[in-house]
Amino acid sequence: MSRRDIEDRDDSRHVDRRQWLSALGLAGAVTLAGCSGNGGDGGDGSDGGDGSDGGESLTLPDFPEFGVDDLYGRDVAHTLAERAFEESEYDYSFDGDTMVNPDGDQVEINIYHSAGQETSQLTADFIAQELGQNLGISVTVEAIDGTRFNNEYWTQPEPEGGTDTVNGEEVTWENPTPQNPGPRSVTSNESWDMSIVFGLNTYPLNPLTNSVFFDGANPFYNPVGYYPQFDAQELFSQARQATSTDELREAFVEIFENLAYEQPYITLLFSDDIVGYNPDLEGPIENFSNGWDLPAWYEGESNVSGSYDTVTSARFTTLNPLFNTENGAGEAIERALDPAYTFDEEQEYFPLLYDMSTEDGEVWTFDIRENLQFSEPYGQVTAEDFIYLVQELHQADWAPTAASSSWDGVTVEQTGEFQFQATLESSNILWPKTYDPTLYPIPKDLVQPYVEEEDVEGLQQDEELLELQFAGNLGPFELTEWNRGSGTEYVRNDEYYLRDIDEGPDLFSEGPLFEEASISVVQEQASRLGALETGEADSAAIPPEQYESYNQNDNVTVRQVPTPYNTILSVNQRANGWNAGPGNLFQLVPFRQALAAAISKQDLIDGVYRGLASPHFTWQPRWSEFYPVSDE
Amino acid sequence: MGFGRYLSARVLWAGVVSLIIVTVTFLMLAAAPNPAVRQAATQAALQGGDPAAAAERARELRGLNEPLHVRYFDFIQSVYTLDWGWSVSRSQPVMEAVTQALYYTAQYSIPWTILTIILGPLVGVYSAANMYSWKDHAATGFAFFGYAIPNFFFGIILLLVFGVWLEWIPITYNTGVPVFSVENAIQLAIPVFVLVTGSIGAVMRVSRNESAEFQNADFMKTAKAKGVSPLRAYAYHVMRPTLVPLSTTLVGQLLALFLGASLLVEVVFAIPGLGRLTYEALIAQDTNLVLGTTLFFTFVAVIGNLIEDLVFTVLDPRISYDDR
Repeated sequence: MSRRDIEDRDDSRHVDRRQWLSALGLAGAVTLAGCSGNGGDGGDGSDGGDGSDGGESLTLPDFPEFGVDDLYGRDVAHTLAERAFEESEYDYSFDGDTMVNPDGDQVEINIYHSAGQETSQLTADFIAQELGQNLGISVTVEAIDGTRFNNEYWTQPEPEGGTDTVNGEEVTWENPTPQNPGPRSVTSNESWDMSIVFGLNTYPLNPLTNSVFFDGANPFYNPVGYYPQFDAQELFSQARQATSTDELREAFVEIFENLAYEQPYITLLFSDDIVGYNPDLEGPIENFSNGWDLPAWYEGESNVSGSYDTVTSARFTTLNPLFNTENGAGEAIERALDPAYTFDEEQEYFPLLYDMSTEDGEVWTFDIRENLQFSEPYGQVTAEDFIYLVQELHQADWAPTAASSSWDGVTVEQTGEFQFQATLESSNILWPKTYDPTLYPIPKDLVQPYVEEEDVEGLQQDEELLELQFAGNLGPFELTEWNRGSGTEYVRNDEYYLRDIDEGPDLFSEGPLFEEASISVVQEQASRLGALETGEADSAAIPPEQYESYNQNDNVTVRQVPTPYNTILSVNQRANGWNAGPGNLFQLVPFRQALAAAISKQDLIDGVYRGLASPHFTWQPRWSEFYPVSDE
Repeated sequence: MGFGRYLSARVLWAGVVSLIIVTVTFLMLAAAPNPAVRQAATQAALQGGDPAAAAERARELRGLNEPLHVRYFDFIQSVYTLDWGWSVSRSQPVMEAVTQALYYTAQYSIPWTILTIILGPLVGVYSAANMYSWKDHAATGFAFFGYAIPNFFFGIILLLVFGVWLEWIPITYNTGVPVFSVENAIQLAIPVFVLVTGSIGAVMRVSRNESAEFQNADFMKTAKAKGVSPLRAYAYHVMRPTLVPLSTTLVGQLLALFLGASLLVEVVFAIPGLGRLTYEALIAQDTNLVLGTTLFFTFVAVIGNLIEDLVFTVLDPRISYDDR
C-alpha cells in the first residue's frame, strides 16, 4: 500500500539514511551546524533567516537518539522545528526564542497527565518547562483521570472508518476500532494536544506484535493518528515471513530505526518496576521473567511454611480465565491455574502444561503433560479439551473470549490423546513469544452446555469458572475465597502436577513452598507500603520517589525489574489535536523530532525518576535482541 | 389525625416518592445508549462482522426491542423484587455486591453513628454547662480539630503511628475475621475514631448552642428550685428539647454516613464497603451497579426522611399530626 517516499516526507533529505551512513561514516553522521558553527555537509542550502542556521545543515543518522548529547538542546530543536515550518502550509515561525503561530501569538498547547500520580505530574511539568525553554512553546499542564482520558480523549467508542491519502496512496479504514476509529479527520469526542497518561507495551520478546501500532496508517491501535512515512507494512510483512532469527532481526532493525527517526510517539524512557520484597524471601530476580519460578520461592528455610501475601492497587473485574484481560487478575488466576508455558530467566520457553515444537514455524505440535487433572467430575486434561476450547469458543463468532483474536485463522487438529497440532496461515518462528498459543485448560464438559446454547452471559457468569473450582491439580494453590472488594485467598495445592516434572529447579519437586497465599486489594499507596514495611505483605510496588528510603530500610529488599512498558509523550496528530493555530504541526516528522530533541531524557531520568530508568529512543528496550545498533 | 393514620399516610407517600424516582431513573436509562449493545457492535466490527446486525441481536437478547411500557413494567418488577442485574465490573449479581459492601460498611458505620449521636450531644451539653471555662474550650477545640482535619489524612497519620511504628493495628483490613471479635474491634478502632472525630464537631456545636438556650429557661430554674439533681435536670430538661432541631441534622448525618465521608476512609483502610463500591461502579461505568447503588441510597433517603418525620413527632409532643 504505502511506499516509502523520502521526497515527500522531508525535503532536506534526498538520500536514504543508509546511504548517509555509508557516506559519512558512523560517528560523523551527526553534524549540528547550529552548535558547532560548521557548514552543513549535505544540506540543500540554508534559508539563513533571522540569524538561524536553518534546518538544512543538520543531518540525522539512521538511528537518531533524540534528547541526548548532540541531539538535545535549543539549537537542534529550533533547527528541526524550522524544517517543520517550511513543510507546513501555514506561517509558523520563531519570534526570538518564542514560537508563534500565523497570527503572531505564542504557540500554546496543553499536556495531560494522570491525576494523583506524582511521577506523572512531575514528568508533565518537566516537559512543559523543556518545551518552553527550548522551543518557546507555552504548555499548560492538566491532570485527568485515566479512565476518563481513555473514554473521551484517547478513543472513539463509535469508530466511523473512512479513507484518506497516505504517502500518495488511498488507504481505507475497513475495520475501524475505538483505538483507531478512522483517518485523521475522525477524532475522539474531546480535543487534546499532548498526553503522558498512557505508556504502551513495546513487546521485546515478540516485536511482531508491534504491528498493532505501526502496520501502516490503519492498524488496530493508533489513537494519535500516526501515518508512517516508511513502508511499515512491507517491513512487517518481511518479518512475518522470516524463517530465521537473522532475517527477522534485519526486518526489525529497519522498522525500529524508522520509528526512532519518525517519533510516532515521542519516546522518553523505560522505567523499571521497583518492587519491595520481604528480605527473608528467596526467589525474586531483577529480570523481565521475575516470578516465572514462583513455586520454588520460599521464606527463610526451603520447606513448606508460612504464607505468601501480596498487595495490589486494583481489584479484579473477573477471574473467569476465558474472559480476563487484566494483568492483575491474570496473576490472581495463575496462583490457582497455571498458564500453558512461561519463559525462564534466560527468556527461554519453559513448558508448564504443554511443550511446543515446530520445524518450519508454520505447523506447531503441542505435547500435553499426562499428569494434569481437573477437579472431579471432569477428570484428566486431554487434547480434546484444548481442541474444543479453541474451535468452539475462541474461534466462535458468538463468544467474545479474551483469546479469540489469538486463534483467528489457526487450524487445530487432534493428533493423539495428549497431542494436537496447530497450523498457522503463515510461518511465525516467534509464535510462542506472542503468548497467543497459551491456553488455560478448561474442561469440555463444563462449557459444552453454554456452547450448545450460545449463552455468553451464562459462560461469563458461571461460578465454577469465576471461582476456578475446576482447577484440580493445575495450579500451585487452590482458590478458597474471592472477595470482590478485598482480594483473593488461597491454600497450598497438595496435588500440584509440577512436582512430578523433570525440568526446572529442584525445588519444583516440593512446590509451592508456602502453606497459603493471598492477594489483597489496597487502593491507598501509603497503606500498601505500610503493609510491606510491617511484614503484612511480602511484596509491593514502590514508587520511584521512595526508592532511596526503602533501599535503606532493613525491613524491605528493593529490586529493580525491567519492564517492556514505556513512558511516551503522545501527540495528537488527528484533526482535534494541535489547538494552537491552523494546521497540525504534530503531523510533521521534523516537528515531532524537534519535540524529542527539546526534552532532555537524562535530566528527566535523573530529576524525576531518581536515575531509575533508561532512555528510550525507539520502540524497543535496549536489552531486546532486536534493538538497532547504535551509531556510537 | 391520629398517629396511626399519620404513619400510614407518610409510608404511602414514601412509596410514591420511591416510585417517581425509579420511573425517572428508568426514563433516563432508556434514553441513554446501552454499553452492552455498543460493545457487541464493536466486537463484531473487530472480527469483520456486521456491527448493525450484532447490535440488533444484542438488543433483542436484552429485550431492548420491546415496547417502552413492557420494558418499564419489567424494570419496576425487577427493582421491587430486588433482581438488580449483573455487575460486569465485579462479576457478581448487583444485589450481592450491595449487600456484601453493606456488610462491611455497617461494621464501622453503626458504631460510628451510635458514638456520634451519643457523644455529640453529650459533649455539647457538657460544654454549655461549663460555658467559657477551660473545659468548654477543650471540648470545642477537640470538636473543631476533628472537623477541620481531613479524614483521609488523619487516617493515614494514625495508620502510620499505630500501624507502622507501634504495630498495634493491622494495615490491611482482614475480611476473614468474625464480626464480633477482638481482631475486628482492633482493626476498626482507628477508622471509627477518625470518622467520629470528623462528624462529632457539627453535632456538638449545634447541641451546645441549643442547650445554652434552655439551661436558663424557666423550667430549668423550677427544676433546680425543686432540688432535681443536675444530671437529671440536664438529661430531661435540656437534652430533650435540644434533640428536636438536632434530629434533623442527625438523620442527615445517618444518610451521609453511608456514602460521602466514608469513601476516603474506606480507601485508606482498604475496607471493601459501599463508598468504594459506588465510586468504583461509576469509574468502571458499570451501569447496573451504578443503578443499584443509586437506588439503594434513594431508598435509604426515603426511609430516612420517613423516620425523621416520625421521630420529630415522638420527641416533641407540641408538634401535631394535623396540617401535615
